Amino acid sequence: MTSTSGHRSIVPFVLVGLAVALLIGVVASNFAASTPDALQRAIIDSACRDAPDKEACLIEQEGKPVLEIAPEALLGYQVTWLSGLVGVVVTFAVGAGLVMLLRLS
Amino acid sequence: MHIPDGLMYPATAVATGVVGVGAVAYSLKKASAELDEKRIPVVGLTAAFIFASQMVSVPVAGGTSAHLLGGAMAGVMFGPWVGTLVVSVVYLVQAIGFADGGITALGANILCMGVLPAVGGYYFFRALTGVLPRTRASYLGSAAVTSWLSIVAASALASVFIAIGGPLPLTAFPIIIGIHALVGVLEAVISTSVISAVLATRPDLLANQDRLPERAPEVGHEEAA
Repeated sequence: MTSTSGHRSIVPFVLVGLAVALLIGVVASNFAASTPDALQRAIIDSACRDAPDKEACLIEQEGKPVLEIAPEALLGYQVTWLSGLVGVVVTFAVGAGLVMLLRLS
Repeated sequence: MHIPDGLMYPATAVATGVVGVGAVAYSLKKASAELDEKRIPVVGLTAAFIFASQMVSVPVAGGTSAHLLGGAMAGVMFGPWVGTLVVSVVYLVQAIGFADGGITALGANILCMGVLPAVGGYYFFRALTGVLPRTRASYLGSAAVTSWLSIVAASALASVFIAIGGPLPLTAFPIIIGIHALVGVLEAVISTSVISAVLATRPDLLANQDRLPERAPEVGHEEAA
């Protein structure tokens, strides 16, 4: 991998970038907020939008289709340092591998 | 904004899946002509960075959290087709390996968070920078506006898929777009920071070379040439 545009190697740029990505995925991800994302919030809010008691509505909606359709896996998704490590490495490998295959073909 | 399994009717999932596969196939074809050797690891790096960044949700108003999407950022940095490819890889790995975004919703997620921000963002960015002076402020300002708009547009498209092509009530439509108008600010800040860093260190890697800020001529350089 000795790219030479402007006689500058791409290797240091990629290594620093990968280090940053790993730092984010392995360390910073442990501090990720556990509150619902905007889509999950919309599912919940739209179900309880006009309810006089929103808290009670949310509890009531637990067993109803509008929340059932948002899978447990999504609502309870927890990130770990391991998923960050594996994810970053796999995504890099798939992305670079795919492009390399394109170049070869 | 990842759409999970079960949030769209089967017909919507099939239709978005077919269009999504077609868009990725077209991106593969176009990208193969655009990519050179130096961009091979950079594509993987950008995908890995977006994957990692999407793991870090930060709280926004109203008990909601948000993370980077990165579609517009990839489109602005590498062009529409390589950009689409980058984010498609991210959503593929997330859906298959991490149950983040449904398998049946993969096409919809690629269309909402990949194709629309990368392709639409790229051309919107070019339109903006085409009428603005070629300065660093204009370049980064255009990137910020593009990133913000890409989130709002992506949320609107996702709303169409799940509120019209799925079982979610139409009342969700303004809620999703309203929240993402706020989330877009986060996207703009992170995307612009990354683009700014690449612009400062390796501008040769960026697409839109004709839109890069003009540099003052280096004294002595031209004389030597």
